[in-house]
Amino acid sequence: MIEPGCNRFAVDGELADLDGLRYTPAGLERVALKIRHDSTQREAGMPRRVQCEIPALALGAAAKQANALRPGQRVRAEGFLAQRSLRSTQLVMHIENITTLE
Amino acid sequence: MPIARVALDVPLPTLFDYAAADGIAAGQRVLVPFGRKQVVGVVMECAADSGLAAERIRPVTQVLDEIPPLPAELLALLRFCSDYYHHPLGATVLSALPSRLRSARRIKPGNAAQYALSASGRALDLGRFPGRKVVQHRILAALQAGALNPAQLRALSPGAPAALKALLQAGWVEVCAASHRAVSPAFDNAHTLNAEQQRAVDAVARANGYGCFLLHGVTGSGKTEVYVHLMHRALQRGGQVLLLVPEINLTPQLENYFRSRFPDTALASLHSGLSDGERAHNWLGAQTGRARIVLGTRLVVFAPLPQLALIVVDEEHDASFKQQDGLRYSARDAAVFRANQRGVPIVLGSATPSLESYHNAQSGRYRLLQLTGRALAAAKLPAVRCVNIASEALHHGIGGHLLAALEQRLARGEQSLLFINRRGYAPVLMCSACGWLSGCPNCDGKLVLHLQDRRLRCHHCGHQARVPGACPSCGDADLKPVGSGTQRVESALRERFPDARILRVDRDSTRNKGAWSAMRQQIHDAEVDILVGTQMLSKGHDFPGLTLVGVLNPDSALYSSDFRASEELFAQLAQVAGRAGRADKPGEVLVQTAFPGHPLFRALRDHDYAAWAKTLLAERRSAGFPPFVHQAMLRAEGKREAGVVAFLQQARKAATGLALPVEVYGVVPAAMPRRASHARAQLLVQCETRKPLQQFLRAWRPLLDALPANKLRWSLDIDPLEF
Repeated sequence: MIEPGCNRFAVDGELADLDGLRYTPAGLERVALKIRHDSTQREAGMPRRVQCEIPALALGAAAKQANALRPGQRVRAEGFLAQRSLRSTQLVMHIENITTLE
Repeated sequence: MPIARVALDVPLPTLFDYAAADGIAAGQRVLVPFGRKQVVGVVMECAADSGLAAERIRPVTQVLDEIPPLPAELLALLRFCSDYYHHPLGATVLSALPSRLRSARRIKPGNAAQYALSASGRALDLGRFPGRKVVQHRILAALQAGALNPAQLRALSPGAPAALKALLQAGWVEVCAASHRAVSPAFDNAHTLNAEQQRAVDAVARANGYGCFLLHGVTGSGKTEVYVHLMHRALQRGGQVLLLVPEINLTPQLENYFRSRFPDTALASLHSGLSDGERAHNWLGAQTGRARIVLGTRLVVFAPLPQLALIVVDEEHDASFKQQDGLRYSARDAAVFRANQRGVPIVLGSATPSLESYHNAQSGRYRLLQLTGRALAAAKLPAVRCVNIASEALHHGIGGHLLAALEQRLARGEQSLLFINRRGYAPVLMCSACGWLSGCPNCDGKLVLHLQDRRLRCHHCGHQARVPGACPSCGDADLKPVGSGTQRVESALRERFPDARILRVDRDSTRNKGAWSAMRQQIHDAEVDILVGTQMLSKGHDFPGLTLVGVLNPDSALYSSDFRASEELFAQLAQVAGRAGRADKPGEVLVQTAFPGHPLFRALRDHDYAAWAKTLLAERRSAGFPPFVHQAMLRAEGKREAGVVAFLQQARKAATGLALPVEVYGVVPAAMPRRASHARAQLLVQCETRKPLQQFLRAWRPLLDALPANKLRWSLDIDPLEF
């Protein structure tokens, strides 16, 4: 059964652009990063290569996890997708959990 | 038995009759019964009999005669103010007195204590004084220049009283009696006047009796020197000098300056930073003529000055001369009236005169005196450059040009100042996911983010709250500060220039008593590289090492609904630009704006006040704004908007019913329609000349008093500055 309101996203990739640890005005940890994804997926019954760069944001405990990583590391990130802002339809991944794959 | 007609601090526009003993005189303070209380009042006039039945007249309880009666001239000034500003006479008179004189407590002859170095204190080698006793050291150093009073010592540091106690115990400092008036005042005439200054001094000196002079001098042109020479002339002839300054923070500084120029002339200051005792003492000093120079903020205009010979109003354009509650008087205008009444000259000084005064100078009511060059030949006016923010990448509000200029100054070891008229970290907190803004629950304004203590504060009603952990509307934790305030600029600079010594000067960082004067000392001692501050920094301060001024975000005043906003912005920017390059080094001013071609910035660049004033006056003339019309504003506020509007509608009906030749506008919401949970609205009345407006107001005020005004407050503001 599919839970209503589903918004789950998980992706593997290489950690690109890892910003330093910042804080929200209320004092919550905040790290912005990018994940460079490169894999082979099946589409219409055929394998194809998929490459994309995913802007992502980690807050709180996830930010602390991300802050311990180094750019270039291979990671798996799990979370959900949201629009960057009211005015931008660009999607940003919000990370709930991020771990290294090495 | 004579009848004393007494002014009491009650909101009724009448005097009260009391039976008095023979010898009662106008101006005397009396204690009288009022209802079941005993209150202090001032006798305004004496009469042989009263219109009231004899049994209704109660006797004066006591004449408080330890001080001489208020002079008739002062009573006349207060009558004028009560009349012109349509404020009850009793409330006007009593509000002009220092609080000690409003109570029946006996006034002690006053402790005129001054502190000076003792013989052993003079023998002390300050170079070897323990370095950690900073405040004691500072006091000793200050006393080397001469004796100081408690207020001046407090201005040195908040820890001055404790340090003073220690110094007294050690025997290095002693109490001495206040110095007395010298017959021929000593005058430190170290500066010679240039030709323009001399012409200004001569013009005022030639004035026989009343004359109003507008001294328009660019920043750093030596207006103070003109004042000093005029003051010297007045003092020499045995006169007293009244000097009005706009800001309480400037008074200790000016007091020390004038003391150094007139070392044995008694000087008294009056401002709200004094203790009640000091204020009463200084006020009495003015009244007895002991104080020859009386200096202070707007309330000093009501000091009794029996030998008044000259009035000076410095920074005459400053809005702080207008009181915003109670008796809403303009101290500058009251000073002009007083000079006229006393037949003495008055000098209004400014680098950016108010349009009212400038218009008066153009039309010949005032005489215009101009200082067009800087007093020190080496000091040139700063070069002003506008940077278009449309073509700049901004880093927390600071553009690349400005960062580069700051870097240069740091490399050369010179001071810079960034001016941003907004305190806090950011003027609003926003949720970019859903558009939520940090609005104030009580006002129509926004809560300002103060990051240091993680709080949101309303700068209008004082409401404060913790910064929410997530958006109250959608739950997104990634809330964003929008816009820049002093704290944000400060932290961006700290990050960019980690080795620079950065000081923020705003109402928050100077909240503690004495903090600001300690900071000023730091700036003077070149212990600061970059100053970030609000308009606190723009007024009158002389920072010799400062060569760069950056102005951030001045544009909001260009599209304000207040027609005076651009006049004020120009004054503020001209003042703050004038801080740059006052000594021997040339100054530079960078203004970050989206409208580099605006006439305001063009005039600023050309240091051309006259062109700017001409533009504004033409605008005001065609729009029918002051100084081409005279205005009165009726404001009302209350919990219920309907009640506020209904009151003003009734007031409007009463006004139009009078059928007098004034324009009565409609009832409109105030610029901030809701503040501190009160709805606010206003009603404007105007007329091209003053006289019909005053006639109208005299007829209207009693009608207003008679209107039902349940659960609301209203006030009548003549010549209003705020819209």
